[in-house]
Formats: sequence, C-alpha cells, structure tokens
Amino acid sequence: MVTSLLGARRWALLVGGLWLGVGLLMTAGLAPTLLAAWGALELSSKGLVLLVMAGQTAVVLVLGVLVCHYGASSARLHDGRTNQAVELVLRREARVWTFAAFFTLAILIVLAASVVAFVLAGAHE
Amino acid sequence: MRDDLEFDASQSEVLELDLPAPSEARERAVSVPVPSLPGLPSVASSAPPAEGHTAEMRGSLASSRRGTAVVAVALGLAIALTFLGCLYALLVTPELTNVLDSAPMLLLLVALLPPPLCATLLFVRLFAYHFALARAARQGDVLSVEEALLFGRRFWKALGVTQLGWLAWTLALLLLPSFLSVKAQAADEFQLKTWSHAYRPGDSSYYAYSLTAPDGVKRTLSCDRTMTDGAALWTCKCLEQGNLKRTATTPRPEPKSAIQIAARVRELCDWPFWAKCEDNWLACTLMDR
Repeated sequence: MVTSLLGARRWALLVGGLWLGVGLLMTAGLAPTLLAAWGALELSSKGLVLLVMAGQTAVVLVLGVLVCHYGASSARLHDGRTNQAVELVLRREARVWTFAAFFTLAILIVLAASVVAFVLAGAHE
Repeated sequence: MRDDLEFDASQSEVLELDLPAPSEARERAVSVPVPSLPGLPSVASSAPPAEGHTAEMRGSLASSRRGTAVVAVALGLAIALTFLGCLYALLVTPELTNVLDSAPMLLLLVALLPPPLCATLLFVRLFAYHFALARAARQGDVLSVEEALLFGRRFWKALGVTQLGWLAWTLALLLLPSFLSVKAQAADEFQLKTWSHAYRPGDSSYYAYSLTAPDGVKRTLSCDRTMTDGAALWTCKCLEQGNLKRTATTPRPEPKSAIQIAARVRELCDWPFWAKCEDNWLACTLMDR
C-alpha cells in the first residue's frame, strides 16, 4: 500500500507540476491582454474567448495545486504508516476527483449549450 | 532388449494425486492471512468495518469513485467523438483524403496515432481505477483498498507519462518547424555582406560591381567598354579577392538590376548557384542549378 501511494505520489507531483507550469505560462500570456482589455471587455466573441481562456487557466492552476497537494501528502507516510496518513492521502485525492468531475460537467454543459445554440441558430436561419 | 520395454497394462499401477476440489482450493487461497495496516480491519475479518477513520476513508474512496466515473465518461465521449470525427473527415472530405494519400504513411502514423492511443490507454486505466475504488468503497477491507491504490498508482503513472509525451510533442511541434526553416534559410538564402558599385563620373565606358557573399569571398565584376566598328563590346573581368580569375567579352550592356548583376557574376566567376536577388541587394536566394 505504501509503495503504491509513494509511486502515485511521484507521478502526481509530476502531473501537478506540469499543470502548474502550463497554468503559469497561460497566465503570463493571457494576463497582459486581459488587463489591457478589461475596461472595454464586451460580450462579444473575442471577449467570450478571452473569458473562457481565463477560466481554463484558473482551472488548470487549481487542478495543478490540488494534484501537487495530493502528491505531497504522501510524504507523511514516511513518518509512520498510520491510518490518518492514508486517510489524508485519500481525502486529498477525493478533492482532486471532485473538482475534476465538476470541471468536466461544466465543460459538458457548455458544450451541450453550444451545440443547442448552434442548432437553434441554424434552424432560425 | 526390446521385450523389456513392452508395456503390460495388467501390471500397471494407477497413481492418485490428493488434489483439493476447485472450491476447496479457492477457500484455502482466500484464507491466506493478509498483512494489514495498524487500525485497518483485516480482510479475513467478517466483522463490519470500524467507524471513525475507516468510515472517513470509505467516504473519500466513494468521492473519488464518483469523480473518476464522471471524468471517465467524459474522456470516453471525447475519444468516441474524435474517432467519429476522423472517420467522417476521411470519408467526406476529399481534400483531406488527398493530403493523406500524398503524405508518407509512417509520418502520418507517428503524427496522428499517439494522442488517441494515449487517451484510450488513460481511459482504460481510469475505468480500472474507478472499479477498484468502487470495490474498495463497498468492501472497505485492506485488500480492496490496496488494490485501489495500486490501480491509482498505475493511473497516475499513465497520466504522468502521457503528460510528458504531450509536453515533448508540443515542444517538437513548436521547435521542429522553426529549426527546419532556419536550416533551410541557411542553405537557400543569404544576405550580401557588402556590395558596391564603382563608376567614373561622366564616363559610361566603365562599371564595376563588388559583392561579398557569406563565404567571405569578395567577387568583383569589372567591365570596360570598347567600340569596334560602331558596336560596343564589353570586356569583363572576374576578380576574386582582387585576383583575376577570368576574362570574357560580351556585347551585353551594363546590367540594370541586381538580378542581372548576380547572373553575370555567376556566369563569369563560375559561381555554382543561381542567385535571385531583390533589387535592394540585401537579400538573395541561392538556388541549385
């Protein structure tokens, strides 16, 4: 069990670190544009794309933090193979999956709404 | 000798192995003691799991199970849509079919196969993890929790490897074209380091052009006009680094554009390339003959 947790920890830390890096890169690329256009941001297609990208960046950052948090929690297993340590790891992993599930559902809802809007627009024309 | 080897069925003895029945064997296998963590209920124990820590652990496992289910279903949908989209594009779009026909098959396989394959592998791993979590949340014993954690480790490893591959893929896509174009640019284009035009004011019977390409060799096309029977004849010299390399006579007048000058230099100095230059003389493109 400990071997599995420690093995998962390494990969989770790697994945979380990568996501954090990507999220920070996205922030660095997006922040100047958003800050410059914030005052004049309208509900146009460009504004929506910017907001969606900002949301994605935030999600990637949060996921990166959560996965890193989960990966780092296995370090406690070195101190002692206690139930509490295992519970902590499982609880943090559950947080990762809960957030990922909500994010996935949000994507699915947005996609479904886009498809419905597209179909309705086509029918309207 | 041969008689000794003859088989006598009446004298044979039947050996009987004392093997347990299949059901008995299963029972024996299950009754092997499983090492457990302090505080965790043993797998052999038929008592319900203790409240407290274990209940919280089972709650976490159940949350992870729900999350993995949602993500796995979405991932499966994405993979199915990707495959359907590719199939539709292949069947319906003739331009894409032409592109696929003309591209090398190996390159296509290398370029197109890894992402869906990795996604499918992740999907399988995620579903296995989900079912292991469901089992662990339902049973709550050490064995099922350990199994779930093992599947979890496999999933995170697959995700990590996929992410690393994705990173390498992105870097390759970003860097390779620019690297190739830089190499191509280095091979095909150059900037003239220096060039000059010499002439004598008021005298149209002389001109000279000097240019230095990246090979560092300064080539000069120096021409003098002579009049023979009322016709102009130009005697041109090619000088490389100031040394005379060749002399030729031509009736052609002074070149009027950079392209013409480059062509003359190529002819007279035996330059192995065609040089196509812009009129500003700054950028030239070398082409193999």
